[in-house]
Amino acid sequence: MKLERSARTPRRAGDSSIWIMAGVLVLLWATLAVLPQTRGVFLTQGNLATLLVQSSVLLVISVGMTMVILIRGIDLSVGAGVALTGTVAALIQLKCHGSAPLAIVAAVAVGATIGAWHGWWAAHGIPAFVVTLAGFKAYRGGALVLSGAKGLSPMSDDFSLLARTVPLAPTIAIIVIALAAGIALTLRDATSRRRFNLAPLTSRVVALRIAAQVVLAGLVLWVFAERGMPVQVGIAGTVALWGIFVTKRTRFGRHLYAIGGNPDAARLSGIDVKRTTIGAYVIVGVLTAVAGVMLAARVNGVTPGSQGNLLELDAVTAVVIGGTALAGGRGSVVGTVLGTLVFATLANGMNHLRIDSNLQLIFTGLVLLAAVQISRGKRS
Amino acid sequence: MIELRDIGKTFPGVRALNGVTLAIGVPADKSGETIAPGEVLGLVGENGAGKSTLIKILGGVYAAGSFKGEVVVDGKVQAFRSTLDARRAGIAIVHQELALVSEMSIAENLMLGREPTRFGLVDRAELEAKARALLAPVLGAEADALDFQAPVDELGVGVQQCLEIARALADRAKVVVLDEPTAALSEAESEKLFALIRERRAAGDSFVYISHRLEEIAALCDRVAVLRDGELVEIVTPDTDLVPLMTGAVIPDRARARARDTATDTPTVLRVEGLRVAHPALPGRLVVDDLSFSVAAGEVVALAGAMGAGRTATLATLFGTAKRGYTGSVAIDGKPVALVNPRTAIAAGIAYVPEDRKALGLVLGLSVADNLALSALGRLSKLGVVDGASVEHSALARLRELSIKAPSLGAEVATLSGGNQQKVVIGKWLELAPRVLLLDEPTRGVDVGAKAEIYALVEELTSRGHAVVLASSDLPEVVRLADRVIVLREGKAAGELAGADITPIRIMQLAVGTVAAVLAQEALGEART
Repeated sequence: MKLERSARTPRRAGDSSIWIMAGVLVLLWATLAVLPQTRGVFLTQGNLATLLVQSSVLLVISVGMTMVILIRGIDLSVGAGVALTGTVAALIQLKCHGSAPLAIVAAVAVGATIGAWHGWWAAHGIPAFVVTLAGFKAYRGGALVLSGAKGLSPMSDDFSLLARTVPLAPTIAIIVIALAAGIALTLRDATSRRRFNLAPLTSRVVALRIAAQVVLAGLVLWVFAERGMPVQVGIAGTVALWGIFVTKRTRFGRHLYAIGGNPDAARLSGIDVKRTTIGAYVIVGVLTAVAGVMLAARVNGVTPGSQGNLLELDAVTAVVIGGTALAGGRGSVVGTVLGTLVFATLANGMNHLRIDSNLQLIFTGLVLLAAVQISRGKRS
Repeated sequence: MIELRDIGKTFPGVRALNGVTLAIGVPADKSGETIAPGEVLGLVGENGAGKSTLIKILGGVYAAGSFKGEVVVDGKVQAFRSTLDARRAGIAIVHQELALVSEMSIAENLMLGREPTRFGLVDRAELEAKARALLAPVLGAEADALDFQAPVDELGVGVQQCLEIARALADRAKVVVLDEPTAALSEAESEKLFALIRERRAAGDSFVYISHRLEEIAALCDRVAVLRDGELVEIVTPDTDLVPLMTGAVIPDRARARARDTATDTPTVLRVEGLRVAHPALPGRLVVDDLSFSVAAGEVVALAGAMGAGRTATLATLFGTAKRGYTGSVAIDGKPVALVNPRTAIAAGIAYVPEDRKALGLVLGLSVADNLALSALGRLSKLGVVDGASVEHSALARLRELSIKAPSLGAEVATLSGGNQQKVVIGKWLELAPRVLLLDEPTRGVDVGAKAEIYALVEELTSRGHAVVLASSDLPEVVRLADRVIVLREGKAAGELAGADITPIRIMQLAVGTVAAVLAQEALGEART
């Protein structure tokens, strides 16, 4: 039967643009691997590890940004939020001599509150652009007021663990566990279909998915085989996998797509649009705090006036390069991960090619436009 | 005269059109004398027959080069690159989907792109005067009562459609293509439109008229072109029996088997008492005024009436979406329920199939499976994690149950035909097994075959004990489906009909008042002859 056949491999809208982005990334890496100026420099374990560390904070923010953009929203306050939550964590460490866990919990609480505040207004019809633009100003001011406009440093030793590297043995363990979880989920997908007598996933599809996971895990393992995995990358990777799971597999995630695609139809289908909206902004708020803590650990302190500057626009850039539509309803966290990597690769590669940093800005702008054109072309 | 010569168009995997040749506008006879000044050419066919594709080629939506064959206007081969090119060549299209700017006023919408100016500034008075002059022949006296400075989205769909038609006519087009123009119009509004078309035809204009309502085709058209599977079957006279040509099979139009005996004590499912709903914009006015009715298990109660009589407002209120709330009581299975938002209505066992499926019923960018799961994701997930296999299982069950034709479960719902989209909107509720199904214009813009399937589906649902409230401006549909009809006029119940009393004439008499009904009836009789 024709239907059964095609139903076997449910293809989701937007899948194809992900493959294009993945292709673009591979092409970029291959080019940088053979260009005379970057040969033997770019595709090394050390450089790739640096690249991943440098994109960790951006990736964490971008995962949250993807969710609000999916529901036709935006969060322009994340850069300032990174400064504010970092400042809160630093103050607890420096002024109150609080432990690292306490500082982190406090920062996350501030992030969640900020997110709930944005979400409440957005859910009640105030454009997210305006609400978060207000936050963009206010949280930077808040960070400066709280800190007395002074740099805060250094963080305590246990806080700085977040900027360290996991030794090799646990690194391998983490990657193997993640791989095992991925394979288990794939196998469960394959078997759970039997409950309803659905056509089983073909062994080719299962094998392909598992092969992709193994290749990915192997690649990650190779990159960190020398010195182990930086904690920052571990956090960012976990957030990304969590984000993929939430958007693809949870009710909340599917509701994000429905609301972004057609808010009226979503409401009339019984979806709690307000609660879901608030939820998405709380997530981006919490992830902003996580990013704020990560950045404070990496630079070992907070410069309230400039920490996280322009992060909001970098995040939007990464999300859009990754194929998520600003009009909402289309896109994916996988795309955002690829978008972030493309963005970071461009910066890293252009540095190695000794391209003038001013020219780099122009070039990045053109890439953004080209990416939007690609995902638009796939759609029509 | 406009000719389409040997038009063919292929989409990936589908041949949408194949070798269609068609002339629009009555050609001169051999001696060079024109037979008639203009003509109305009917274009019929089931959804997927190729009507939309043909119209898009004619209107320049598909640019020259993307299809085979030629579009010829007055003997000259055209190469439209855009809809604007087609408009310049004298082809105006009124699409099924409205293309009005919702925040702009009625006057601005009518005069969009041709605003009168004085010293470079828009002359608002002249703008309104010209807009009124445009709309008057379409809407008649009703146009005078409209506030032309009000935003168009405050108008009902019917009036919006009239604006679109007026705008196309203002372009002084050689051919005006009307795609399902009466889908959202009341009988009276439709009659006005027909009179207008006849008047313009006499003045030399030609029309292509696409409609699923074959009685309109018969009443209005000079010739009818029948499309089936992308090919032109035949050009026939309008008195031909079109349905067999369109479908290749005869569809029995039997009346609904009224098995339910009103004397038997089937339990009442829905009871509405003294329902009053405030007008969303005008304080002090009611859109529904003291309405009471009940629906038993397995019963179809239809709400009939003119546009704005309160049909949609009643259904929307029962689904908890009345903007300014309601008074009165609603009970389901004897239990009173408070309907403050769609979620409370769904929890009470109510499901709603809205009038505008694209705007309110579907998430067009999502897949068929995702849309079918839209209102039941809670049931299809565990601890917030969606069970993909359950979603697919449930979607496959709906596909079979409703015979939804889709290339795959993962296909975007936007790629489905109108009838199949409508079945998805109905299907998304079935997982929840609602007690009451509210259907607002369930077959609007749906082809003959799918219409019959939706009717069969409604009958199947009632036989399972669902109670159905149907709001429809399609009178044959009301006659076909309803056990009882409540006719609304200006928000009040003007009367109730049951059994053999349910006839289009009786419904119309109650809906518009007796005198007007007689007039409308006469107009209809005139149209038929």
